[in-house]
Amino acid sequence: MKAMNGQALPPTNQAHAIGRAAPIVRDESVQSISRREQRIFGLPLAASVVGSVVGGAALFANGADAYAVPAAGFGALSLLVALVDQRRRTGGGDRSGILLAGLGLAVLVVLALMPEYLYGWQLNGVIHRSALSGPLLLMLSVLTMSFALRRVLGGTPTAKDLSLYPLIALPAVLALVAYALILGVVIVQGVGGLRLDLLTTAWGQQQVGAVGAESFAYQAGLRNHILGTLLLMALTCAISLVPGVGVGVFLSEYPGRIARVVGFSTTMLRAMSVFIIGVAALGFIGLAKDLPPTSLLSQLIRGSFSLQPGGITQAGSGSFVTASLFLSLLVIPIIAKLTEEGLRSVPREIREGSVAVGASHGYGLRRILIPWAAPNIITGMLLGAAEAAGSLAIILFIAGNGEHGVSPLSSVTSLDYALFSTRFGTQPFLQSMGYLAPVDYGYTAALLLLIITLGLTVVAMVVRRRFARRYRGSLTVG
Amino acid sequence: MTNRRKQPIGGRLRAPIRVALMAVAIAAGTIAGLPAVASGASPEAPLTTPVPSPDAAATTVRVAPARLQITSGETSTIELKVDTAVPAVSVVADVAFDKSVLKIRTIELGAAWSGATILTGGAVATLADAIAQANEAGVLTQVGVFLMADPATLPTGESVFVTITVEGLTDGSTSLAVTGATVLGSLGEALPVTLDNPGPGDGQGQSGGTAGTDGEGGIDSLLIVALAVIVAVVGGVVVYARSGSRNGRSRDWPFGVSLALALIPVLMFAGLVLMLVLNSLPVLVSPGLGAVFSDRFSSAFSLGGNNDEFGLIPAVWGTLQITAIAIGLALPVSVALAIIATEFPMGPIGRVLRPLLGVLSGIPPIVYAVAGAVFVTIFMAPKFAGSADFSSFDPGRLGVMPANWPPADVPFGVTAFPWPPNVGGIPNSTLLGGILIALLVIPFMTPLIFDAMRNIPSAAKEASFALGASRGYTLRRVILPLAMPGIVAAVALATLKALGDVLIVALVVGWQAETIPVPIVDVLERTSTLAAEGANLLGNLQSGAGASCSPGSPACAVGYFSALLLLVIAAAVVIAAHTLEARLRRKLQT
Repeated sequence: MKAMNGQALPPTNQAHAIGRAAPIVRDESVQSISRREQRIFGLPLAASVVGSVVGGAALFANGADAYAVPAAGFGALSLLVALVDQRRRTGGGDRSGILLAGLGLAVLVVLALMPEYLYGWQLNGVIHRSALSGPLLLMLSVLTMSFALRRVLGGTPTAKDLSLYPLIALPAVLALVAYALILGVVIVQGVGGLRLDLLTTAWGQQQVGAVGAESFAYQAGLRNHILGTLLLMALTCAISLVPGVGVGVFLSEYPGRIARVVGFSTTMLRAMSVFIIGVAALGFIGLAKDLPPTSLLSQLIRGSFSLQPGGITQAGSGSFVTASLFLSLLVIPIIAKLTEEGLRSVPREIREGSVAVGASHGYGLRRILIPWAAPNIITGMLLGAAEAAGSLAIILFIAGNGEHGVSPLSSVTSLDYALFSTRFGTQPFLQSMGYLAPVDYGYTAALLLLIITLGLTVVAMVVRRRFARRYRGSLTVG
Repeated sequence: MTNRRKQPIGGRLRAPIRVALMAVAIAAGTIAGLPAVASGASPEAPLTTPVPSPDAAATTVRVAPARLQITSGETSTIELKVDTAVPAVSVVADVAFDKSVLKIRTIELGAAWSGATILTGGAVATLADAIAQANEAGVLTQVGVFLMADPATLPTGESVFVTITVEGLTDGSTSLAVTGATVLGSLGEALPVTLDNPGPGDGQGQSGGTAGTDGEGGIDSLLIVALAVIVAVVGGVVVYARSGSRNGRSRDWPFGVSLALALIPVLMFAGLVLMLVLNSLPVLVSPGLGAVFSDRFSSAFSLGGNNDEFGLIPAVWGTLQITAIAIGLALPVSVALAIIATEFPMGPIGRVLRPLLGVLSGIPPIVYAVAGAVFVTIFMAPKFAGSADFSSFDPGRLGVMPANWPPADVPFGVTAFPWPPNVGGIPNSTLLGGILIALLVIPFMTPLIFDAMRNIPSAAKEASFALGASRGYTLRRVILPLAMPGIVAAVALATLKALGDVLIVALVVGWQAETIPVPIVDVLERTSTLAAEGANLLGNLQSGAGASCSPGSPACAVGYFSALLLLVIAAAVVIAAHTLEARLRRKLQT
């Protein structure tokens, strides 16, 4: 317990020692029970462990729900036994215990009376009993566990703290299990589909069959999707770095009315639903639809490709440059916020020292403030790159499968679009028509995407920590 | 250093004039220079395609004859022709004509496309509606054919895909032009199309501006003007900042440069809002506000839909439902995680939790949307099944089903499962959408709550401990109340994120909310959100990339309007959270 305390908190044992006298600690019901008498509460504690196991299992396997009634019954009865025993010994009532036992009995009755399938009552479907019994049992078990832990450990503040752990742990554990499931299925299924030829070929059309009786088949490949993701991240970072830092500097250095407007706009850009930005990108490309495909403007906006070397140049669906431009609307706020944070964390002594030795504001910014904020800026860039790799909604309407190559002036593609198109778009259609091998490489694309985005996030955290140490030395706080 | 203020304008009246002159010069230069760049023939793009493709480039769509001799009251026939080297399953074209001199009587299939389906675009239901609309507007939009057949039998070469009979209203000659076309290859891919129209000299010039209403250089110059304005503003600000002395210092470039850069998000935000408002204005005319705020939504893709119902109330309800589920699930979890990371350390778990959440926050939404299938198979499907007879376009609100469930004695006609795996992925229920968005939101919200709890004055916490309070008591009575403003702000930001998500909802719940579920809280129904519905209306998610609604059509306007509505809801959340936060802070201070 002491080790967990950290330095900030006083040892709870002392708190306990004075706790009895302190007016805010009131727990008359437990005070008078001696250690030995509390052992009876081990029974409901065990029942609650059983109950949470059964409840957790019922969340995932319908079969476990057959044990829900015995588990609930065990819990409620053991609680009653413990309460009766406590009353016999001490003569005092335990309001929260009685409440809990009542709740347990109610759950028991509900579970016992519940048919296996619920339907009717205007429900537009069939619900299996375990959909309710799992959560109910888990809730009851956690409450009982908390209650019984406190009784078993005695009424000390330490015991009360410990008894809160089940309540706090349950939602956390459930959420972590959910993440583990998602990541697990992506990793397991994705690794299974990870083949070298998938990574080294580009998506595209192939001609098969003899001359005169040609037909076409598509080959699946992720090469251009991977390269496209990397290019997209690089371009987005390049575009949004300077504006992002500029916005951050302005927000931090020149507070006032304009800064409030800028801050509001930046926040709202971040808060705006991304599909609006995607639609804006689509409209932007629509503006260029009448330009000749060979003109520079059209190539910049829509991208271009020609089917044969030296052939007719055609306009693409939207270039990497355009995609990065619109992705940077998301990334600029990220970099700006982190830059602002970094600049705000510059100690006053350093700022004043810079002015005191006669440095101009520009010099101070260039030589002191920006280097100080550098770790934040780099973190922002890396996080922004991860965002660019993962924000499909913005490029969804303009992306393609990258069959025409990857360069800043070719049609945009990325791994998350590959993932999308394995479920929607043309690929399911091609597969249903038999033009594409019915191999689902969606999870492989998801795995690669996860590797890129999670890798960048990890690198961002490491960089931030390391740079903070180098540039800020001992002044570092966080 | 940080609080330099503008000096009162006195004796420096020249600066604005210089700025204005500079801006004008830059703008003029841009306008003069850019068309040269735009139209100057750049060398052939050196890009090559990695996969050799057949000669698909030569797909043209044209109208024949492009010039038509008509006499009043008599009918004549025009043909829409497609010339394609590779087999095509679908050809769709827009045809502009002069509505004052002719009107369309009938539209029929071309000979080579017998057996195909005639397509009418936009939000019209029948061919008759499309003709009526075309005669009203002078543009026949997205008329075409779709033929589902073996690629070997699909028409190639030049073929007539649609024959249009028109009736002259006056004597004379008029011209027709194809203004847009989409040709889908045998594999459903869009083929590059060239429009074979006569040059503007002999054809479109006389057709009274009906052709190419949104093209032909008008937009081109608009783009250039927009660029010029941006350049002028940025340049002007830089010049302004450099031009005068501020606080006696001759050059304060950081102010000018950072102001110029800081205006980028402001301009972008203003531009996006302006775009939303302008584009959703047609809603007032075409479906009408009453129709938009009705509770029925149907589109060409819903079976039995009337194609003209654009009620957004179901989507608003879906948005509220999904956001409520997501935040309701995410808030306790986030608070619990933050408590573990700060106040109730659980050994090593507490230490790794922060980095772990940082990593988890990097998971893109599309991964949840696709990997969410695992929840369907192990959690949703074995527990919930929809009834088949509830909704015509809703064959169950589940994805995959175990073979033996539910048993035969359950009096529900549960539809055949699984849902065809290639059509729509894993559509499930509002509930699953909410769960997945909660997972998306938790790593985003937890660090904010964590910060809010860590940033409370340590004196308050220490005082509580010094008085002998337990951790639980301190948490309940000291930390959480003090951190409440921060928690409110975190919830508001998370709500915005949940409101705006498109992909998870679109893939898991659906593209459109057709009715308000009965009973209204039925989270097993598939009630989509404003974001997904708007994205589908505007970008047609179903057909993949690049497809968009025709500008000015009711569907398009409603799409923009749904985005506007979403923005209003988001603004309401921001304002409410701000007010609540301010009130809580005030209360804490007294």
